[in-house]
Amino acid sequence: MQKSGLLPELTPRHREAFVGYLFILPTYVGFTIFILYPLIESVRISFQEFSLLRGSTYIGFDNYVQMFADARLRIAYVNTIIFTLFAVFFNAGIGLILAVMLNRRLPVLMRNLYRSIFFFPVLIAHTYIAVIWRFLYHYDTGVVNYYLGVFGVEPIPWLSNAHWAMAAIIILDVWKNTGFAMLVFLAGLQSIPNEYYEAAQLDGANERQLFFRITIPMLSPTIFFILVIFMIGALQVFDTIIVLTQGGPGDATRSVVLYVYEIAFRTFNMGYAAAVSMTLFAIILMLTALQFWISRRWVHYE
Amino acid sequence: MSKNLSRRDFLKYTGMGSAAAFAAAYGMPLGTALAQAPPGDTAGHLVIYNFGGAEQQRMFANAIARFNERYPNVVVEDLYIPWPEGWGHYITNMKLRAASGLKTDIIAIAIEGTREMIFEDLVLPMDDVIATDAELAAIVDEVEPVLHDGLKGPDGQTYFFTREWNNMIIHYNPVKFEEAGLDPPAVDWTWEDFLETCLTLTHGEGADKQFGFSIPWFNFGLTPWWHTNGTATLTEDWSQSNLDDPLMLESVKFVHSLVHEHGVSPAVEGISMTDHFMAGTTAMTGAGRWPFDTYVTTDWRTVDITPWPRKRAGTTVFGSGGWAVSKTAENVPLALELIKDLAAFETDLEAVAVGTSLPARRSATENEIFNSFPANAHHFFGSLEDIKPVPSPANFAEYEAIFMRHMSQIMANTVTAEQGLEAAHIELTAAMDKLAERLAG
Repeated sequence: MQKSGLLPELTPRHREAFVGYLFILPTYVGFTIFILYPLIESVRISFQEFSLLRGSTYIGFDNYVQMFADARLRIAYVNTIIFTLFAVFFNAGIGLILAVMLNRRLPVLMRNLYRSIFFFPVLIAHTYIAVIWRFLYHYDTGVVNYYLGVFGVEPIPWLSNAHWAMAAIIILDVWKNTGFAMLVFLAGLQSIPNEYYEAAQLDGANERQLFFRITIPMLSPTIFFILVIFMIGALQVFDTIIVLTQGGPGDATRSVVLYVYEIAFRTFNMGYAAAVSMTLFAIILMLTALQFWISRRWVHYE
Repeated sequence: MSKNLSRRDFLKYTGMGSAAAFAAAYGMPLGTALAQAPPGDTAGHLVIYNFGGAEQQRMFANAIARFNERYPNVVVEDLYIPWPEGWGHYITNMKLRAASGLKTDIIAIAIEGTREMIFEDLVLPMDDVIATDAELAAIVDEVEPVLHDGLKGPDGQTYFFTREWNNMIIHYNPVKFEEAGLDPPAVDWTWEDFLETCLTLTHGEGADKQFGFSIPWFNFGLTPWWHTNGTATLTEDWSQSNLDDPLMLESVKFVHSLVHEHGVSPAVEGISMTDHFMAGTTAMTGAGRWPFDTYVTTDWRTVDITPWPRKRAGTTVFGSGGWAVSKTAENVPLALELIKDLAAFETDLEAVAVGTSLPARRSATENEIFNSFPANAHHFFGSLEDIKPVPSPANFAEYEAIFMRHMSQIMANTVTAEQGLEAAHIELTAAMDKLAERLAG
């Protein structure tokens, strides 16, 4: 057998595997440098009273014990859970509704136009969004309250009331991100073969039956993907909150990640911030694993 | 020997005479100290850790160009951070540079971050240097003492050369006053006069609503309400919470009443006070000189300034920024030469034209550009007669976050002023105790 000069001793199968590993090597190098190493460092720092310039001291589980007495952290977790439940539900729900509407027999131009309009907020930087939405939400001079007033509704303290501030953040988050869900759902819908619908219609299935018996099961992998992605993103919510309410009023909209940021960069308590981050990491890991486990019962792959 | 010495050369050679003392102070080799005013053909690389807006960046680029005329072989790298998102983050990045072994020669920082910089041993003390360098001494002498002292460390040492400053002053719309039949505010007006004025200026409904005053909703912007009532959030030495002072409660209640009792101010959350003021939604607001670059850029001239209304005192607040030599500077004398250009009179003159902040020197404001707009521009430096620096302890970011978080609850009516200040006092006291432990090592 003639031997290749570059990989002389390898069988074709091993050579193919070797080339494959070479292709994924950059990703693994990036993952190791930018994710794995910082993660390991965070674990190490979480057991320290950490100082960048004055040296660090090992303090065992003190940072983790401190969390049990931290009332503000509890509030941040409750806020994060509330946000996650509503943001995931509405982002996925509205995204699905928009996708189904766009998947109907619309002229291509109209479909592309609507798709662009719904997706556009995803592309806008949070800084601009903050400026616009703070104007929209302002109690006295905001556009939202102005139009509510036109319909006889009393002005709503969107940003200065603990409950309304969380609602304001969820609305903004859904406005900004549901376009992404819509786009993914639309791709999923367009990949469902028409034959299924035609066969069902021949058997006399109505629109509702088509949706729940064909569309939803066939779309279940996409729905699962969106739920996982949006849940992970929502549990790490930061930018939507910092640009709109900075966690206020008080701690009413403070999320866990925003709290971690403040502990790390305002009180410079990096050790405690790392410990809180570890708990969030563990929670996200567990919830994602749970989702995958449950998905076996309702996600259908062809 | 006959040689014509320039003023700069004269100062340079007299300064070199004391270089040995400088060397002793910092444990430097004598040769390094003798190079305190390095020769013009010195080669090197200086790194500035800097902040501000684009206009300021151009202003400092001009200062660096002047430096390069004297030192053409020195490359200056200006690490410019456009208006950092909080001084905590800015300082952390600076610490990361130091911890990573990346050198920085000159550090720019606002007063809010100076104590943290000093505590973390990131900047060099300058008293001995100023004593031996007539040019630096002259720079210090030309700056108003209250501004220079505000940037000193808790040990009374000078670490920073004043870069710029801002006070809090009332911006008002003269046209709105005229329409309401009001005279411009008197310089010694009181809180009661202010409230009466606000009530007169507040009218209309819905989209036509006009408010008297837009509350500057940030720690620095609120501080004049405490100072003009003879109190502050922290004790005089910035070591403990002063939020249990009954005068603080009185002041906070007054601010709260502007929105919730008298309705003369719009809700504080989500407001852009400058935008509302320029749009005519509010007839007055409070700010420093920083909105003037927007006023000038948009050619909006219906604004004048007047001192903050007083209750028990006429004291307002200032915040300033400074230049310091970093502990990691490799060539301290060269860095000092660059600071001389960065803090030069020419830079101050440019600052006047740019309009973002007030220059360090009063003398730079004695010209038509500064005094033609606003009409009462003299109030900016006039406020220095009765002014205090914004409390800036070494845990400033934490202190500010605690106070503003509780203030937001008070202004949202989630808690009463009494409850909010009591909770804030407890939390701030714990934070200041922890700081004291940290400072004690």
